[in-house]
Amino acid sequence: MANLARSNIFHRKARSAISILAVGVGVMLFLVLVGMSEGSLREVAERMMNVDADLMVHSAGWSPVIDQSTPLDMRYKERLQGVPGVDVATPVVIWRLVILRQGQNIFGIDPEYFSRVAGYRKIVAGRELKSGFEMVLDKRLSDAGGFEVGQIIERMGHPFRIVGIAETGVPVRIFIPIQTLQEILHAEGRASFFFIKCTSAQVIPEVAAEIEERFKGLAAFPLGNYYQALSGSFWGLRVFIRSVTAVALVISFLVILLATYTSVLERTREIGILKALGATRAFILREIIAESLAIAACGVILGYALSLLAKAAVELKYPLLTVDITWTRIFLAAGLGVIGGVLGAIYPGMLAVRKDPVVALSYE
Amino acid sequence: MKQIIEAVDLRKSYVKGREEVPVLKGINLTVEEGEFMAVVGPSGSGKSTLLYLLGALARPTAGKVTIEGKDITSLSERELAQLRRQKIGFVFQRFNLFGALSAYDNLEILSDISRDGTVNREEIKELLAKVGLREKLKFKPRELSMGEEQRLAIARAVVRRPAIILADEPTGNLDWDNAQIVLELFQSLNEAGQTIIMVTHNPQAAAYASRVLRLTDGRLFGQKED
Repeated sequence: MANLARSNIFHRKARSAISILAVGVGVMLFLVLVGMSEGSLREVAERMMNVDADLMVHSAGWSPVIDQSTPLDMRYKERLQGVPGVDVATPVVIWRLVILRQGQNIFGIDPEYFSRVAGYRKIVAGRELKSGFEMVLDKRLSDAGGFEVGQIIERMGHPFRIVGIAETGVPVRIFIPIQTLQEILHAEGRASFFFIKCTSAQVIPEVAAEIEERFKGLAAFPLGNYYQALSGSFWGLRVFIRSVTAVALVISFLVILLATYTSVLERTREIGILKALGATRAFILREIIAESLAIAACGVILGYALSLLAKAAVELKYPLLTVDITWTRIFLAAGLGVIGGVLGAIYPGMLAVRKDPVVALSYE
Repeated sequence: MKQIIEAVDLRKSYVKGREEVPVLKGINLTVEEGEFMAVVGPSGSGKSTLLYLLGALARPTAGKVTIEGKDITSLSERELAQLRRQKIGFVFQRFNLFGALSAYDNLEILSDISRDGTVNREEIKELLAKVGLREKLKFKPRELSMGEEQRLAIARAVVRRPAIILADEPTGNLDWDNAQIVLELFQSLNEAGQTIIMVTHNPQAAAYASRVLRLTDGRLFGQKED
């Protein structure tokens, strides 16, 4: 059987390649843009949820993502430890600095208690923090920046010695002693928030309620709900991600539609010939859709490959960024390519099959 | 002889801007089975339009065309497509072959379109051999000479054994040597009983036909009654 659709793809190589590339770019745009936005948010949330603590206590309305202030008095530590069900409370000061061209949160922690309450997961090189101008980095940051234990790096106007490397997955990538950070920020006796370890998992809701009841103006929420809390409190980011998703979807769809539309237009004369040979509208439309589907399928596969390349390139250039390419979005991208391809073919295809064959035959 | 085509008071106008431009102004024509007829006339005289109307590719503004006694002007799109598949073979000045398909596939695609088993592999090969393309079955149209392209187009037109071949300036893009080969091919097909209507502006080409009509200013001259 003479396969006109397949032959056309190979015959018009440049046009087919451009169409496939256009579909591929559409798919890649969608996967990478959405993957970058969602991936970064998820990665931050997951790292925070890796903390062993049960509760995070901070001023109501304060956000650990947006705020770097120190609104709480350190003396809350003793008060919080007096709440029934609280095993240990440990203060944290959060600040932000730029490293490897990217803003990074740093935690000022109490080395003795932080390790008990929140944990580093695991120190893979060097040792835990003690005091002074010391720093522990996570492995992803140390790998990305080529930092080593013993190295001194200058930040916030002070030389910090890297004393340890923590396993990847800790809540922030940089830890320094809380006292050191308080001194640098002139915030002695102040904290940004507290991590709380409860005596058992069963008492977490009661402890949270008791803290909010006893200390008006404080909020306590379980770290297990951090992603939802982060998403909810970070409303602007959610809107941004949805907008990026919508724009990526629309652009990708239009690119795919345009690619198939132009390829069908180019075949107007061929459609006239088919009509002269007695082909029915259904036959012609089937041929057009078959070709567009084949192009869309190749484009989707190319799009996957381009997405993986783009992900690798982004993560190489910005090693601390995470691009999430999930199965859901992979299937969505395939649907996008196929639907775009079919719709892009059906509309001009319908126009073409209705065209006067004499006019179609004279199409240049 | 049996009458195969009849056109009665056939008219066709095109709308150009706000004006309606008449191209054919009442054509009356009868073609008998096995006839090789040429329609000559200057460019723009409406020769191609007449051919497209007889071949069910266009609908007349008024008048009637019957093929084998059946009025085709009232047929639906689907019925017209079926008519073109079963009764008509077109040959165009610009060949209108599928550039993506080989010589063989340009004929075989008709079996996909027809789905009635009228085209088989052996017949295609025989026919291509008959038009001198035995060694070029796998050649794409761009790899053929213009004469070969037109012979391939003729093979495509006859492979389904249609009742009528309609040829629109079939030698218009060919040098005279190649034109003669094509015209001799038409002649041999006609001798085998094939009905052929050819439009051309070339009197030498028209001389190969058994009957020549002249189309001037939308009117046909040279019919028996003229």
